[in-house]
Amino acid sequence: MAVKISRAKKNSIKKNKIRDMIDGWLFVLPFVGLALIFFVGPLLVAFMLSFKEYSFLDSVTMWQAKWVGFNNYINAFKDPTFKKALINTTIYSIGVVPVQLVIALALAIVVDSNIKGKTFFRTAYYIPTITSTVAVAVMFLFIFKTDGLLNKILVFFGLQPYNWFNSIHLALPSIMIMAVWSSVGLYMVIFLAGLQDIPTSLYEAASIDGASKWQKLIHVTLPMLKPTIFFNLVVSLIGTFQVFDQAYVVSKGNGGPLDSTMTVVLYLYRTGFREFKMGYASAIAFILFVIIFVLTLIQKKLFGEENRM
Amino acid sequence: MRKLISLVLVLALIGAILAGCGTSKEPQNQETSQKAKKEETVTITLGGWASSPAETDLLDAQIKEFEKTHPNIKIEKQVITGDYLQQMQARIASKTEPDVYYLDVSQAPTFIEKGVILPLDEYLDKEDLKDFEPNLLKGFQKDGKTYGLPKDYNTLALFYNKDMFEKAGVKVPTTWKELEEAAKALTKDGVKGIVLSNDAARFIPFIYQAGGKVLENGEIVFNSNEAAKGLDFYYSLIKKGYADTPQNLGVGWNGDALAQKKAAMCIEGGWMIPFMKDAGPDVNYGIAKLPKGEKEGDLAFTVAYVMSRNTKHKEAAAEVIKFLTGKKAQQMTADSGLAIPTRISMGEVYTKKYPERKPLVEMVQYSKVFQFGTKGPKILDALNKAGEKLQLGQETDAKKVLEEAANSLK
Repeated sequence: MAVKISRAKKNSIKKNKIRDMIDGWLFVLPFVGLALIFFVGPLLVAFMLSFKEYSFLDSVTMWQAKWVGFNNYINAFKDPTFKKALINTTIYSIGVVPVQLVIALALAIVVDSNIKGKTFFRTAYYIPTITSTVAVAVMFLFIFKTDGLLNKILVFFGLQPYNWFNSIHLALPSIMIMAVWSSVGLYMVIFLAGLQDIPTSLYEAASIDGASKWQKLIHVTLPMLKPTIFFNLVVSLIGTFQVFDQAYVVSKGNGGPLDSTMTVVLYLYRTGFREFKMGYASAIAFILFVIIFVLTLIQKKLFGEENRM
Repeated sequence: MRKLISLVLVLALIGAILAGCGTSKEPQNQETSQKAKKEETVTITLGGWASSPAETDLLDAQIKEFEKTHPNIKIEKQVITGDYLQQMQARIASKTEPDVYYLDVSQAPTFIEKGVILPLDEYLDKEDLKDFEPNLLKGFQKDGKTYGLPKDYNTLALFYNKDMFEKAGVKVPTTWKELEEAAKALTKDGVKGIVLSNDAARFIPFIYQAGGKVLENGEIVFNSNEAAKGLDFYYSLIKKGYADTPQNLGVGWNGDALAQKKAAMCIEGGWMIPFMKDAGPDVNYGIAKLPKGEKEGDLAFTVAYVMSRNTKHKEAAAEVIKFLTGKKAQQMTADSGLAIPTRISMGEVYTKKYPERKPLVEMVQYSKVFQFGTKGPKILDALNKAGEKLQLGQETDAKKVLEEAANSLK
């Protein structure tokens, strides 16, 4: 032991650095390895597949599959169902993101204040987030069905009942309501964390300056919460563009009625696993990726450079 | 000292990784030792989806019977959970699919065209094949070759509430005209005469009954006047108020409407029998043949055992397929009453034991299998949309929506 230590002491600094580097890589090797195998690898393979005509049933491997260049991408933009899916997904996102973030922020401010039973409310609002989306969708099927809870309430107030999921105008809004309800708790918790990071000294200073509660919210809370808002906005936007489960359950997997609940990911799933067109499905996935990537960059630009995530 | 600890840690980690590799090697060793044993006995993997516990018991009993008579072949059952088609695609791509597996007739054209399954002709007895319902067997044949043997099937029939019929003084309809009259007479007290879903798998029989077709020699022909007539009749019942969709009745599917007494009739298959036992034990229902239009017509749903192109034991796999669709195994199916056997000889055993279910068996001679070529999913999608347009009142002309559907597939 003593010998080893004295030898280590003799080692030059350079050698030490190299060994540190090796040690470091060895430590991160399990993670880097897993990331390469399960994340980067499939990503590259899917990118390659998007330029090919391939189905899992083919006797040739995906490496040997026929190269079709940009055909899959060109076909996607000619495909009316894909366009409809893209429009639906955009409407869904535009509808869901602002509503759920505003509600989540409001809830976070409420449960951050000193109200009675705030722990209960924090838990209650968060429960939908940990419930499986399929379970939530099945529950909403009961609420929205023809003789379901919502229609009974509408009838009670003398309003007209609707067949929510079987209407081309109401099916998408129905799953938007469902999405807001089920994910608002997640964003609330993140906002809550952000709120508790704001130093009380700022509020005290604002009080001394005579700021009202509203002024404190506008001039202290919101600016200090900017990084959290940015984070939630990005996560929420990505999440909404990837909507699948709700649309799948509500329409029994076919995006109906008349494609009104067809989303990009649902269409991707259908083309890949039902119509056996993996190459085309991969192209759709990369179009979606580019859209999400561009939107995230735009948000980053809008929110300025001062918040580095 | 600290460096020493970190060195020890690193070594420990490497050790752990190596140990991990070591354990992953073990099954390989086991496999090789198994291979040695395999020279005497062959193991055939059998893949299928998880159905009801009663059906699982039936398959287990059939496998047991097989192993009794074939001591050198073992069957290893693999239940594929989740989305069967999706799971199977992943396993086929990685060449780890079972040697023998279930295949729904609607997927057969694609699986045959892609060469995923092997023709079975060299293992089959031509005389014995004649015992299978020809309409079902056709679903798994191409260019004179047979790629799968159907294990059981279902047709669509008319399930009706006997009490409601008696109360309204209506007799069981046998023609379109009688169906409409019965539906009209039964529509009262918040009950609809018949529940009809927006589903091509339910209205295609009406297209056939009107003399129309969906495909002819692989070409789309559902935009004919006959097909339009069938579709028009189906949706006219809804428009006239004698019928409604399950969604509008506030239920999940057609069967629910009959079980919850929201409709007096529904068009479904043999899966209704166990379902009604659970969901509507108090409903006194009967089964009748589908009413006739210009002619009789129906859809048949069937599943076959097929052989993987990657199997290493073709002969043994063929033995398994032949046994599980053979007389002995189908006798067990017939006795259990869980499904209708595909052999004509065993169909007789089934109808003798369950005479009230005879209409389901009788309809098979008028049936086409639920199969629309390799573009099946797209065709059904287009037809479903055509139906939805009529039901939602976006269009009123059945011919026009069918033309639009045909054009969207070009």
